[in-house]
Amino acid sequence: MRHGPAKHALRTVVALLVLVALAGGCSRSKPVPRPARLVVGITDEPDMLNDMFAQSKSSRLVNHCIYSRFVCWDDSMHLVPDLLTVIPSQTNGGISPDDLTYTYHLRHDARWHDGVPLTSADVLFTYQAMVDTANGAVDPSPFDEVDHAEAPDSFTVVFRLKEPYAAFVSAAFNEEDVLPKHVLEKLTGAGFRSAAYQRAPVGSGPFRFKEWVPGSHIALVRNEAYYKGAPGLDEIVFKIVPEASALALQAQAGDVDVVNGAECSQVAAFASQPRLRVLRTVSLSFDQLTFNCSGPVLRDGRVRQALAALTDRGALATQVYGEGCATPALSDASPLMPWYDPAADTANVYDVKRAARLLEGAGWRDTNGDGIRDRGGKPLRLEISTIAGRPARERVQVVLQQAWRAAGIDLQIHNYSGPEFFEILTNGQFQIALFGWQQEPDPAPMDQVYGSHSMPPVGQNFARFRDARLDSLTALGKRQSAPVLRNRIYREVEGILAREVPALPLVWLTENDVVPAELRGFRPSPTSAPDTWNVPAWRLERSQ
Amino acid sequence: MTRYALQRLAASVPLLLVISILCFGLLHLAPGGPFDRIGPNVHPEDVERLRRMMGLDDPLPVQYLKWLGRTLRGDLGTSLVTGERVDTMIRARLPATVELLGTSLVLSLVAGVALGVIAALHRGRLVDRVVGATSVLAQSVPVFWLGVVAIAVFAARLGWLPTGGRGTPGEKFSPGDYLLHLLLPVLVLTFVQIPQWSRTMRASLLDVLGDEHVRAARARGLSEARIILRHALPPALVPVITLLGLQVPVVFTGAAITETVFAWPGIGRLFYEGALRFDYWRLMGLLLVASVLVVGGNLAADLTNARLDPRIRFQGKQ
Repeated sequence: MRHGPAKHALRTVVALLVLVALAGGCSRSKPVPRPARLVVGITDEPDMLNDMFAQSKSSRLVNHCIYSRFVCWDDSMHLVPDLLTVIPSQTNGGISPDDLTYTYHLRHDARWHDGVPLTSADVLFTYQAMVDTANGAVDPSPFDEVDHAEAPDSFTVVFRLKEPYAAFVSAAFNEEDVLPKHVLEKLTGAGFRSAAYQRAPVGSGPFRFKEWVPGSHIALVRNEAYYKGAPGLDEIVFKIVPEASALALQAQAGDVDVVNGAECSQVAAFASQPRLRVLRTVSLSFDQLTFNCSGPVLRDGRVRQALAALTDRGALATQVYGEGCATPALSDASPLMPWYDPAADTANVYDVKRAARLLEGAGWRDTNGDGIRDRGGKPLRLEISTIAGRPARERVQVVLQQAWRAAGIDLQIHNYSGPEFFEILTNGQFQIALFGWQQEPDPAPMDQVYGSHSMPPVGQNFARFRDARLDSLTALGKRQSAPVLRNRIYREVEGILAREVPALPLVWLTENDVVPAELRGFRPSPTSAPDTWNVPAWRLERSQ
Repeated sequence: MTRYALQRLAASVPLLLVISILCFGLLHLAPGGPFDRIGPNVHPEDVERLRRMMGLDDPLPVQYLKWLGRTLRGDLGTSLVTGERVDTMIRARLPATVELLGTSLVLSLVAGVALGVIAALHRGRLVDRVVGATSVLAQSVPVFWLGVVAIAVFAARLGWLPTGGRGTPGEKFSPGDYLLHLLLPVLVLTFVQIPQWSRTMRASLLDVLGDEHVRAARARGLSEARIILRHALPPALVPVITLLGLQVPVVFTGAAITETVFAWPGIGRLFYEGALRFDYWRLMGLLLVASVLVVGGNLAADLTNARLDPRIRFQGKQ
């Protein structure tokens, strides 16, 4: 008798669970034709669907599906036109001989998702919205280089720059979305950032916005009227799964089709599933040691060269980051770049004997026999810092500590939280900093990284490196739009960096994307362009 | 009773004020800020411009007073990250959290109280030991690990249940699909929450069973069932009600870890993601709501206990 109610309750619970399972099962097994829907798993929820304000990578991933832009980097690091009929150059007359006037011709067949034609008025509106500080655009560059802009007709836009800026053609409306004037002109101003539009946009790209369920997903549907032809997928859903291991499980279970930027440690598990395909792309993201050249020890170029010669980057790539997860970065120019200089790659090869010679030449010898080199009674003690909690970088520190110790250098490890780390980078309270960089296919930002006018907090010359020749070359390169001359300039810059070693690139990181085996056309770009740069070409073989 | 309730309410106002000052101070003590994610290519003067625009260049006391003024007018401000109104963000996420936490709270409460009573009535016997050991296990297992294992087994390997989310994204809402998505996170949360109820209930009931009034009831020859249901259980529930008062606010403030593992779009995740991005006004809004609920929950629990236990009323009249 006492167990009667308990048994009854148990039976009820089991019956309910069976009902729930059946209800779910029934809804799953409906014989409806499957749309060509792709579910892309992302760990970060986009902040806004407008790159004028968005700071997260996932926003760019989605925005590339919704909006159009002038140009984009493809997977071979070539600049390809999107809204343009042709990319301006001096050869085709799009760039004036004085490198100041850029003339853009827009396609005539582009329309907004509400059917209104996209014209030069939209481009001018977007430019003005970017530079009007009342709107609060996060980064108005490169439009801060523009003196004035005009639209001589509905499909031509002319930008006149304040001074020559060779990167303008690759930068203008590459990361920025062209925005619809007819929707937004009454919304600009202080409240623009908070407008409902930022979460329910009208674009002109291959996919139309369908819904954004906060914390859950963003759904887009095919734009049948897309000017390059309707895309191959019916729908694309960006599913937000904030935890990486949970995302991996979702992909294994088939609840997520694409994992954008899967962790290297998960690749083997994905690769073992015949339903999935893993694409490994050597990206332009790289880990680097930045030497503080203003410090008493590292001011001496010979010491920096010695440290470079003591760093076996091939071994770091395979043994620390893992086979296939990274490739040695022998300079900060990828071999895919037109300004890549092979000579720079051989300047600092792993050579322990050379390192010893350099250190001795700089006066660092082990005079007291304690295994650590010293000079003027002071031991050769250095400190390396990174952001705590990044396992691969922390392993690099330990490997370097052991390798450099064998050469008589006492390397101490002192790591920080992210904000603290960037604080020491900015205030110069570090000796060697290990962190990641993103190389751009255009070398123009080089002056921001190594120019003597770019010392923090104004610029990013965290190495506090000063070289007059590099300054003049990067200033020249920034203005020079002729590709041959430009490449020659930046090759020389690479030579200076290889010789002076203000920083030591370690490895190019591999980006791992997991996609369904039946997905075609997915070609991730090694650049910072999101993987959706060519989303119109994606198609599922199973789609009907 | 009404006067007591009003007094407690009045005392809550300065308490909430102090909590908000502490929260505001602590959020700003943490190194970093909402512009940490801005790319390194952005000019520092542009970052400064954004700080000014968002009012983050004011001294901290001024920022706090402005927030307080806005909040008293019913405006929790806008997110520094998404530009959305904070109250809109909270409203959008609240249903998901209440469904998940509310269901698991009810299930764990019912199961926990039942197990606690059973364990107390079988003190020292096998049932008691099994309940005790399971409780220790459930309390010791990290919910993150349990969640991942549950997904790996029941979703990824067996394919019985979905791996996460509140429904199949992009598809029309169906009750079956929704319940299937709810099941796994609810079971995980229920499992880890049961011990707090069962242990509290067991200890309290054992305590009450030794009381004089229970011994007197037995001496009067009342049936064991009547003694337990009428004389032991109501006063034994007092600590459970107190605990419930503390737990009810959690139903509205979410379970960040469970929501993160199961991609459940709730309040806990809203807070966690806001903390990662230093979204001060979102965090302050959420902390304020949580504080009001905790203070209110405590008050409600005290008032309920006063009704359940005559001794509390008696002390109140003294």
